[in-house]
Amino acid sequence: MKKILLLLFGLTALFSSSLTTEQQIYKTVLNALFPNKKQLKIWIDDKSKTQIFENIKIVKNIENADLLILFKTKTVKTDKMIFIANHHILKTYNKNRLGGFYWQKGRPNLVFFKYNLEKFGIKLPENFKIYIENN
Amino acid sequence: MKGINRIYIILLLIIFSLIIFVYFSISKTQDRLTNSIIDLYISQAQHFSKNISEQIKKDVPNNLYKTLKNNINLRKNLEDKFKVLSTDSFKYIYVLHKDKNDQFRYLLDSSKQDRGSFDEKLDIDTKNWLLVYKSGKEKTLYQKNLETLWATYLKPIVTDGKVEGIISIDFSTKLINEIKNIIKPIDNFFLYIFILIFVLVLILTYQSILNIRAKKYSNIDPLTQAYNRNFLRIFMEKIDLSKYQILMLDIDYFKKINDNYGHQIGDEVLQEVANIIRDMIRQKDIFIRFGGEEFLVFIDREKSPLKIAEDIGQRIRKSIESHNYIYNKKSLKVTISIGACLYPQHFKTPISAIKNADELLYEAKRRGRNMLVSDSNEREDGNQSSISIDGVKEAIEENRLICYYQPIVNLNNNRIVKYEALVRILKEDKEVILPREFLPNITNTNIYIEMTKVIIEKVFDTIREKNIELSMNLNLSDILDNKIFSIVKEEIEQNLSLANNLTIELLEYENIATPLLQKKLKEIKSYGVKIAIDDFGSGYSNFSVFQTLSIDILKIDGSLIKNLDNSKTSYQITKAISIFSKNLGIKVIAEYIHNEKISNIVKDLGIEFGQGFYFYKPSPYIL
Repeated sequence: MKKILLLLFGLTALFSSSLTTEQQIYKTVLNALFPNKKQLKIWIDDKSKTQIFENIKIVKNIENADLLILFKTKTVKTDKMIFIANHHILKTYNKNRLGGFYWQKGRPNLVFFKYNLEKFGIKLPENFKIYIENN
Repeated sequence: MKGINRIYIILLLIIFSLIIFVYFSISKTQDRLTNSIIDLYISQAQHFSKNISEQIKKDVPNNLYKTLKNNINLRKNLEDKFKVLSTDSFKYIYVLHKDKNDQFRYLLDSSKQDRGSFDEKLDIDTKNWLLVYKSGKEKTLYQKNLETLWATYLKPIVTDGKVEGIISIDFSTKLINEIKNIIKPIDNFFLYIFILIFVLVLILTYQSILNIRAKKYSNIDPLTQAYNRNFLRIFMEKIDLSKYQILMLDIDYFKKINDNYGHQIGDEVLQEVANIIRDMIRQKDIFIRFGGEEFLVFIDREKSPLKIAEDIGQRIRKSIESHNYIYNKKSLKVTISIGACLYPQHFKTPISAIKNADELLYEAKRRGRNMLVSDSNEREDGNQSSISIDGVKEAIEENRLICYYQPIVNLNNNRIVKYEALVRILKEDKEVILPREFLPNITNTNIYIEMTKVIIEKVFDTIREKNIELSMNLNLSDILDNKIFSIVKEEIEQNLSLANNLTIELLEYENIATPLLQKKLKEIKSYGVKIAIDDFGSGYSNFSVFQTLSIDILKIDGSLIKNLDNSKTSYQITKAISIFSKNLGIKVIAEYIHNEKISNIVKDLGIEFGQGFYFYKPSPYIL
């Protein structure tokens, strides 16, 4: 899967904008996290990133969201599942972060956290195992 | 002209080839330069990583992961040491190790930005990193898929033969851009040179086009768009006369059109006539404005009927005649006269052929205008010309060009003293054709030269065989013609022993006292050949000829001799000629003696020799 992702990153980096790359990645990740969800509702803290989630319902209130995707905010108080889109705030939401996707040293990085996955009853497909961290 | 154009094209090709060569050479040089700079940076990265490795080994001799895990200060200390190496070009400097799941995690990170924590994973190109781990050898990875990184230099930290970690130095794309910036001036330089050369080539090409156009227009008559005499001059240098027939066309009464309607109308008439001619001829025919209202058309005869020029000429004539010329609401009638030279290849030069066409045009004018006269049909006397140029050529080839001989007698004893050779053609049906039937057709042609050669050969053969004196006829213009003169001279030289038996009778009707003629006749006489003036007393006979030329024999013209018995004038003139010839020591022959009475009168006048039907008619035999 890593290879597929990397290939995906590579190809999309070569032939399309980073926007399209991120769209593909989030689509894949969200599909992996919520495979049975007919209509996933997400809340994002950076409205400028709306176009990444083209075919996904973005809600205005955190309460209505299934998942929060955070790009910059360190101070969101919630028990809802969070997906981190920035390495700098990755450690901020230890209690309810499912995982994160971020660029580090020019490279795309994907990580999931076992404890919180189990806590929220999420089982990832087998090919995502290599991204799961135990802590 | 074509040669110059070829040179231009070759020059252009050479320039283009040079441009391509320089482009590839510079590209190669750029690549080498780029690679050299890259090697320099990689070499630098090698030194940095070597130093980092040595420092780590010094501070952590073994159990790298465990030691660093338990010693935050050591980690910080090392990271701070290595931080100084991080630059805009060496964007990230860090050390990773591989866990049991082949996941790569941070040991140290000296990067100024985007730092990872100890034991945090970093998603890298696992395959290549594992290769480094396995081989224990350094490697440079070129990052084709990462936007901000250009390359990564990997150096394994090996302790006791075991790889404990990998030092990684990421090269920013800024580096490669900097290299490109260094190279760019060379690129730009070449680009400017290329643009300059391209502009030069454009200018050269434009100049060539202008040159070609100028040359083209310098050969075109602006009024009629036909070729002009400038073109004709160049065309005649290369022309193969056998490929063309020539039409000479002249608008009838053109001066009247100009006088009655003005020059503007005259010009319009010229344009319309030129357009009609152009419409009637084919693309391969050459149309030239020869003079004011005169045109020349060279009709290409290849794969065409024998009289193609005549056909085209008649079409032109009829079209011009039937065309309605309307100017200022007035209707104008325009006709054209045409001379057609169907055998220009028989003429020595193109100018002679054109002159022939001109003479035929003159004949058309003389006969009433608005007609075509060609050299294939009627002559002035209306008789059908028996032998055409080709006919004479055939006669020569088939040995039907023969000599008839008319004896010249001594009037005192009527004994034959010599003969005059007279050229004849024997037709296939054995009919004998006189010179007046074919000589006019071949004057100024190569056939005439051929005929002269054959005749003089036959004359010498007869002299040799029969051991007689023989005279043959030549025009003064033949002596002046270098080709004919050299043939005559050559034959004489080949028959030197017989030269004394030859007399050349010259037709004297022009002003002949030229130094060149004197020189040439002197040369012939030096071989022993005698010179006679033929038809003396007719036309433009000029006594001054005896002052300038050394004449041996004088033949009194038949027009005088024929009338001796009924014309006092003829008698007195003949008497005068006889007297002064005798005084000058010149022998005299009276021609055209046709009866006894005339013969006696001639004898009484003291003329020694006679020739004519009274004595002998010309025959193919020597008596």
